[in-house]
Amino acid sequence: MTATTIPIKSVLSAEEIAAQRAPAPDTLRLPPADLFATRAARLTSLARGHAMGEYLNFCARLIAVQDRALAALKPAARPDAALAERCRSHGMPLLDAQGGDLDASAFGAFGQALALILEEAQTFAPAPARDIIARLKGLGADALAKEARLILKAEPGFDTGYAPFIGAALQVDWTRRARALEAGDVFVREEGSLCPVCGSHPVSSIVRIGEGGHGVRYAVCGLCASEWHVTRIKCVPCQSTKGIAYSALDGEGADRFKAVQVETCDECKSALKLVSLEKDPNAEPFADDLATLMLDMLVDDAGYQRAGRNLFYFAP
Amino acid sequence: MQLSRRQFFKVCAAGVSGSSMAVLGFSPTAAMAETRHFKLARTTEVRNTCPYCSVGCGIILYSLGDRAKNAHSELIHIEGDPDHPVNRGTLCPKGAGLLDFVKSKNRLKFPEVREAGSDQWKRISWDEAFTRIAKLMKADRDANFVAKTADGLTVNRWLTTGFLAASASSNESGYLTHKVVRSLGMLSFDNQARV
Repeated sequence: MTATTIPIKSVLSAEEIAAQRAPAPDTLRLPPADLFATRAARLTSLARGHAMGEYLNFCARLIAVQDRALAALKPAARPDAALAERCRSHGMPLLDAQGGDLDASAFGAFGQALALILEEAQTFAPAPARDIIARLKGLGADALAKEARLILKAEPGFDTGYAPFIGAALQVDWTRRARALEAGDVFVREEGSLCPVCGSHPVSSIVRIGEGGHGVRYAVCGLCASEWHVTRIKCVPCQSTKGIAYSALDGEGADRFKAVQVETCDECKSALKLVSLEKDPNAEPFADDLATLMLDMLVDDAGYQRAGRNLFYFAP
Repeated sequence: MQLSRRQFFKVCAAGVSGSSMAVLGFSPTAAMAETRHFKLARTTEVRNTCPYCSVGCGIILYSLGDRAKNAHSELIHIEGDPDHPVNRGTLCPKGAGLLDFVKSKNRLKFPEVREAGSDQWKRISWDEAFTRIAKLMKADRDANFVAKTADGLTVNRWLTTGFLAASASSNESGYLTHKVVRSLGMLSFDNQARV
């Protein structure tokens, strides 16, 4: 019997060690083309048997229209190279979240998306919502732009009934613009609490699985749906690592919401949701946030302030 | 400004009737009823360093309870820290079994001594342990310290005692360990972290 020789290398070179290393997780994930289709499907399934089922279903159908609106719109142009460079060197978001360059006319992407959303929504909306749609259709471009900018800036004074429709159209426009970018265009601040692409607030955060970093957390923009890396067990609004704890729903029927926890911070008393794909691979940060508003209410009772913004639910 | 904006994102039971949902014509009654039959389950996650070897992998410890007074706390899971640059969420089989290590019945929780000639381990206090170690070290050092070699060269060394320090030490504790041990003249000195 001849012995098989197994080549054994006792020492690895520095290059070999580096090559075996797991790559650093992506710092930025721009929105995928099927964003709204995935979101609508998830919310439809969450709506089944849910106490807020009718509203969630309505939102899911609104999101399905967002998907069609995004597909129908012309892709956004690449950003101006000089502007991109200036934003990158000053660490500023490339897309404007305040709505300075918002085109609220019927010809702009926002106007086109809103028209499609209102047209389709009136076929499945309840009577009070149909009245709101009719009023919205009657708004001039200036009044519409004013409402949209208040929503974007997160300033009070806008109509909570308009918000889901205008918010939906804003999401379509900003997602379209974010999809024209490449990761290298954007300066991603380490541990940023606002979206590095558009400067908007996160809706929640997501723990991802599989390639690109298993168990890595990203904050998810409530406007353009870009995801930026944030360290786990660290408060997204204030970056404290002290006094972090997690709250989840407990009780009969809570199991279907097991993917959703709220990360609470005792330093700044804020609360941001954490949606874990490890616990439910079908979870979606926007849909699962909307389906667990009862969790927000309990956490609010416990004395923490919600730090995430969901454009489909305002209660000022 | 920040406070008013936070107020603006508020989702609470009292605000439901003025919310987008209610304004658009969806009844909030059922949603409110559902909220009442849930309660909050609180858990904690904490970062730490694996105690086994010199790689120093980052770990996350998951516990039930939020460390509030009167709340039941229990360590339920340990896994690699995905944000740690060394291991990026991975652990070796020893590290992956850390929960059993923490909960092991055989885990040493206090100082013990087995006297020369005895086959029994005896529990002692930390004060007794420190005093005993210090006395034994001093006796051995007094007996065996080498100030000069036979040909008159000053060496100030103590070769009859060695020192093994812990793993998962910070730079600061490494510095202090080095200062204490080397100042005594001890030459045999290593870290658990290299085993």
